[in-house]
Amino acid sequence: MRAGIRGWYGLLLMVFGTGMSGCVEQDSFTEIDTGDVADRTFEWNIPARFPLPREPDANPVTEEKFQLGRHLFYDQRLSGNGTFACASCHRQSLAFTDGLSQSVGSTGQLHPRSAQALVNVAYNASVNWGNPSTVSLEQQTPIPLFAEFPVEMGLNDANRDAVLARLRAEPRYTTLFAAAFPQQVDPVSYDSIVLALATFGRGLNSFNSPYDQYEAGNEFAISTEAKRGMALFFDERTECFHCHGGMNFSISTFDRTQTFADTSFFNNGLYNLDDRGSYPEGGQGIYEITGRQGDQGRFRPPTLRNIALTAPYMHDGSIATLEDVLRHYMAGGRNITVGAHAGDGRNNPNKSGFVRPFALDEQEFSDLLTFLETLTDDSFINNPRFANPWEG
Amino acid sequence: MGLKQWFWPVCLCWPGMAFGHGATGDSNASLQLGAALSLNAWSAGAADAQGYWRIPGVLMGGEALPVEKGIVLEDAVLWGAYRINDQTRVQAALASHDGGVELEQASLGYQTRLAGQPVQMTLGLQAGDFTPSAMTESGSGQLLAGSLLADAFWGRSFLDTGLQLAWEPYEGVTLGAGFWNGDAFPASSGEGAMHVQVQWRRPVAGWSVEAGGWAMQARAEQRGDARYNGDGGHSHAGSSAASPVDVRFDGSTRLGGVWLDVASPVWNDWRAGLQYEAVRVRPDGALSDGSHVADWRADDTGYAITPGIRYGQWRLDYRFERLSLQNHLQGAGAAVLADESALANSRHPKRQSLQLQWKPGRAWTVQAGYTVDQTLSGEHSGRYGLGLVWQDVLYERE
Repeated sequence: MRAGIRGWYGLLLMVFGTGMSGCVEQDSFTEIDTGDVADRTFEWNIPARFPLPREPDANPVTEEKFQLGRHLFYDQRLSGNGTFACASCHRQSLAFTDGLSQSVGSTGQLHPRSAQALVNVAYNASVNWGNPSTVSLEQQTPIPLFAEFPVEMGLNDANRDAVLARLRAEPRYTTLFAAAFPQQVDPVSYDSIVLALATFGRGLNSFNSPYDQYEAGNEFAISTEAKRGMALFFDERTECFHCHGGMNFSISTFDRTQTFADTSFFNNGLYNLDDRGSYPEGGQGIYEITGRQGDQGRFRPPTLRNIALTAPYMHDGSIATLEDVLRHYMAGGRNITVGAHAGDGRNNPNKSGFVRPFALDEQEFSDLLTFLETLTDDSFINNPRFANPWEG
Repeated sequence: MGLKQWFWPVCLCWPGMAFGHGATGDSNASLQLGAALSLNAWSAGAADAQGYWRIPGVLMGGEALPVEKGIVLEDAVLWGAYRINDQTRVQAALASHDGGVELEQASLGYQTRLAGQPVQMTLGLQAGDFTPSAMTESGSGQLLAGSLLADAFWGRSFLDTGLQLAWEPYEGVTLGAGFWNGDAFPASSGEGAMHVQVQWRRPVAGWSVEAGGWAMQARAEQRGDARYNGDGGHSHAGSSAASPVDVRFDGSTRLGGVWLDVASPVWNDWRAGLQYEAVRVRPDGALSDGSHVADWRADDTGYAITPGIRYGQWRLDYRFERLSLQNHLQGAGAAVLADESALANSRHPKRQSLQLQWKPGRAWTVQAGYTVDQTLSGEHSGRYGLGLVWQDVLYERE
């Protein structure tokens, strides 16, 4: 024991004081001091009961950057061939997905991954499906702009100056860039574009689903069936919440209240090509970064907010419906019996311990599905703040 | 856990009324074997629908498990004690609470003298004897419901490996100290705990009066709630509902308490008594859950007062227990951790118990009680309970 003399003196005072204090009816209270983590000057679209996402020191959010980013997001002139915008793969009506199993870039190349929903991405502890080193939107944004394998927006050394020239020629951008980056003499640059697009993505927040309204106290916001489904969702029997828990329905979440980010990745038994847990090339999860066999098929658990809008599902869009996703997890993985991807994912040695078979009767299945549908935020997909500014 | 200490046979209840697992302290036998069983039945459980008993405002742990609806074998204990010589004894106890069997006592006791007055030393796995409510547990204590102070502040029963010393410099006055490995809540294993105490007992004008004061300091590193988060690989959660978030505590806890036990002279087989205990607990350290961190300090107090009356083999007790919990959390993760650890609270958890006890024979005790429990919510939650305790010496050799 390292209690000093002062500590023991305090202890003795406690003993003598205890007898009296026990008789006195003292108040009970809990004081919480979170410091300055709750500065909400920016229109985050996040209710006060939720902590704000982190923002990098080098790119604090401003309304001007958000609006510039919004214009760029919907602008086809930002692509190499002038035919493609970020919004081509991220449509607001589909919670900023594209409804395809695998996205198609500006030059027609098939992307190995399904377009991720841009829902609360500011909270993502890591940004990609399977890259633990990409942890900020500022890191992520250049990838679709400049990537060559596959080509997405199609920017390259040959066209990058021409693309900037297109933007400079747009009168609205003169004002928008200047307002967003008032300290810069020539703000129309790819650095500014990246910062603005990242800020727009950081502002795409969805917290007004029927589930949120129920959690905020509106008992009638969701049905009795959904309430039963919610109980199932947060039950050890289904294990859903272990990977899709918390305010963002993904444990891979990082906000201002956190000191350490939880960059989690899980294998959910989708494939097992060789009984060693291998996944198809191009969709092998963080194995593509680490090279460790045990990381085959480990992907970041995406948010389930607006999940009913983001079919098809999984990193490669290989499950068509939400019903089939539930059946996948009920079976504890997927057994593919024929074809190039044949293998029993249920026996994948890298599979998460949370993915194990469970039974639901017909009513429970329906209840769980109904609950997931309550995560759809109509105000998010219809919010004019997130809509195409070039229309109307 | 509930076995009374061989070398510290302080009768912590009313004289002659103790019915813990083993009332073995005054035996001169060289070898003793005994057993105890306690069976409880409750009309309702103490935890909420999910089965987790987390009193808002206090970080619980240890073995502070809620009473469960239905019939439960609360404790089954087999104990033995062997006197090596006049100064030295060994004792051990095996106990079963949740179906598993655990070694709950394995200690060596040695008696000598200091300044002409007796000194007792006990080394090994044993219960802390700094306060009466640390040495009894549900089903074997005075009241069926156990002690709310013990549940909230030191995980029901204090069982640890260490050395306890007791010196009686004057008749009726005992000074004691304990040095612990830290296995018992609120410490964590290897981090250590230490306590000092003073006890006073002597008759006053025909009244039996016992009183004590104690202080403890315990350190913890990455201490979780072993009841529900699998510290040591076990969890007592019987529900399929989501487990509470595994919030860990690093820091120190200072505890202090006083207790009083008064019993009137016997008059025509009637006897009245009063027990009082007050405790103050001040944890100071940091909470974390893997991604959130916050500083946490608290200043908690609690008291229990138990008036009662005895007639022959019958006894009627009423107990009122109340906690005041004052928490201060600071840091970016403070709000999240307050929620996850159930520290956010502005209420006074309290509990009232009324119990009738009948002791038809030396080995048997029958209890019937009613408890109004307001530990989890402000609303009254009543439950009836029945208890049956059997304890006896099975073998004795002079």
